Amino acid sequence: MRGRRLAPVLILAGVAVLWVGVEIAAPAAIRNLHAGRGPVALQRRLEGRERHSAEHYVTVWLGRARPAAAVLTVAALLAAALTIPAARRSFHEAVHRATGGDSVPQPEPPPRPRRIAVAGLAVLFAGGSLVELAIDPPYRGEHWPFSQYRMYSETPRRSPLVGLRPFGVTAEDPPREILLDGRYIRPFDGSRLAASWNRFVQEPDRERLLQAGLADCLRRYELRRAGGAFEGPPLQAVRLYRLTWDVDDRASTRDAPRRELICEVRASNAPTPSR
Amino acid sequence: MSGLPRVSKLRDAWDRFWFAPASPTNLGFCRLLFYGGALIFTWWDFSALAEVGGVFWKPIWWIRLLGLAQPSHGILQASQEIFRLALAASCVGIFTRVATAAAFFLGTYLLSLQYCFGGSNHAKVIVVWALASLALSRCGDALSVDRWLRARRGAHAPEASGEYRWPIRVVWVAMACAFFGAGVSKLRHAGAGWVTSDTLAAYLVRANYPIVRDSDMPMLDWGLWLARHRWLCRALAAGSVTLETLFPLALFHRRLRPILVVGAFFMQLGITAVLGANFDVFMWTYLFWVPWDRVAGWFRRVGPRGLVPAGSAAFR
Repeated sequence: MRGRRLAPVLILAGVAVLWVGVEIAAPAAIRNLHAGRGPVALQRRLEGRERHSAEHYVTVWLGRARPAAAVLTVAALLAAALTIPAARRSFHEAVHRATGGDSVPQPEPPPRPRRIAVAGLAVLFAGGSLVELAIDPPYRGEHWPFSQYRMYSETPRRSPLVGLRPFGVTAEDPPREILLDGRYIRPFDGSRLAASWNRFVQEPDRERLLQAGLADCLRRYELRRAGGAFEGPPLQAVRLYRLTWDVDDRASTRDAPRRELICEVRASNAPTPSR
Repeated sequence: MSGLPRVSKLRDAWDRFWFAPASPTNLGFCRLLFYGGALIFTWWDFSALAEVGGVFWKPIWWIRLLGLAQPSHGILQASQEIFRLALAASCVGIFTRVATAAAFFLGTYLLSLQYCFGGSNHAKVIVVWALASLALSRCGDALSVDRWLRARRGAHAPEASGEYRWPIRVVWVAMACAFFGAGVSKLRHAGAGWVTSDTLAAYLVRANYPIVRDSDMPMLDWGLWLARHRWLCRALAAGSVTLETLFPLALFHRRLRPILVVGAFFMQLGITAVLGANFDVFMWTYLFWVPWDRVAGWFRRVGPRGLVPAGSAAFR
């Protein structure tokens, strides 16, 4: 009986400790690490310390830890509630009804290793998905094959739309610019390549990365063209443009974006693609 | 002491959900159709990834954790050939245990490599979990060459067992997590505004601009018409969020199950048509919700004689 009374108290104490850790202890530790105090291994975890303030890391921490702590708190409160006999009885009855009650044939007992394997797979998947949902990593930054499925979850800006796109400059007279879409840049499609450009432009050595990326697109275009993957003109250069569309409800402006040149690589002096 | 019977009841409920006896035919149909579809939907030249410059290489977490480098053309070529063979063998059910295990390991590796260039994507996550579930299962016990060979050696047809229910339930849980996650993500990032504002209308218009998906434009431009009818958009948005968030009920509630599953199927079909997102292999996994043994039974009753080999020992 004593243990039963003690359980909810311990659970609630655990929740209190969790929140103290999330809100006070961890931010203090992050500030210390940012200032160069504490274990070197942990200091290395703060990538880009020279560019961001300590408060940036605290904000990122709180953005991820608070939802996770909220999920754990709900689970802990549920566990605490289930220590009350009446609540536990109602829960068991609800689960019994929900899973079909007595109407389903009695299961044959499967072998124990099989049951453990199934339970492990179910817990791994459901647990991983819930953790992903709680920490909510950025779009395209999921811990694949776990995902929180956040596609279409944000409130999009209606107008203007902005995107980075590579164009090839043909070696013709006069030269033309052609959009390097999926068939020219396989195995990429437009969206996958766009994610890479967006990453490159945020890096400190953006110029080198953009040049290496464009040189790689040019190299693969010519390789695929020479291999007969498509019929297209040879290219003398590849350019990356920032395209901006002023959106209207009938999409009448879709073929007339404004263009701003971001980077250009010429075939004659293309850098060797590298990391 | 009263806690022990209740723990036992919970365990019984768990066992009923995963291990209530089911026909091997149902799982056999699912195996045959799923691997056949997976072979088509994952028919992609993975070896081309070896040619991409290292500047684009940004490995996902577990590839980074294992210290795997960008693979060579030879490795990818061999892996994809074995993967395709494994999918085909799993489909017809020959050397099923080995083939399904190979399909799982190679499929997970090859699919994950795509996301090491330009970031991850959840469109094919469901395939990994279905492959894992079938690889651990006895899905080759019916409608398979293995079963036919065993029958020739005089082995009896397998009886209904819990072994044939849990692999299907794993896929159900995976789909429920996917929809629930999608619903919660919308409410978390946009709140009620996802329904009450013009969020869906904005997505519908954006989908018609070649901003992101020049390879995945919507099938139809009806989205532009829908976007001009704000109340219709809001009603569709409310319906989508409700369906996604409540989808886990399909796991437990028999009456709600067909409504939620069919509703989600048509919702994804609609998204593909007017927003352009490609859910091909995800939509294919809806086949795990179909009670194929009952469909086969129905065909036996109303269809032409001999369409389904009733009670055939070899193909049970």
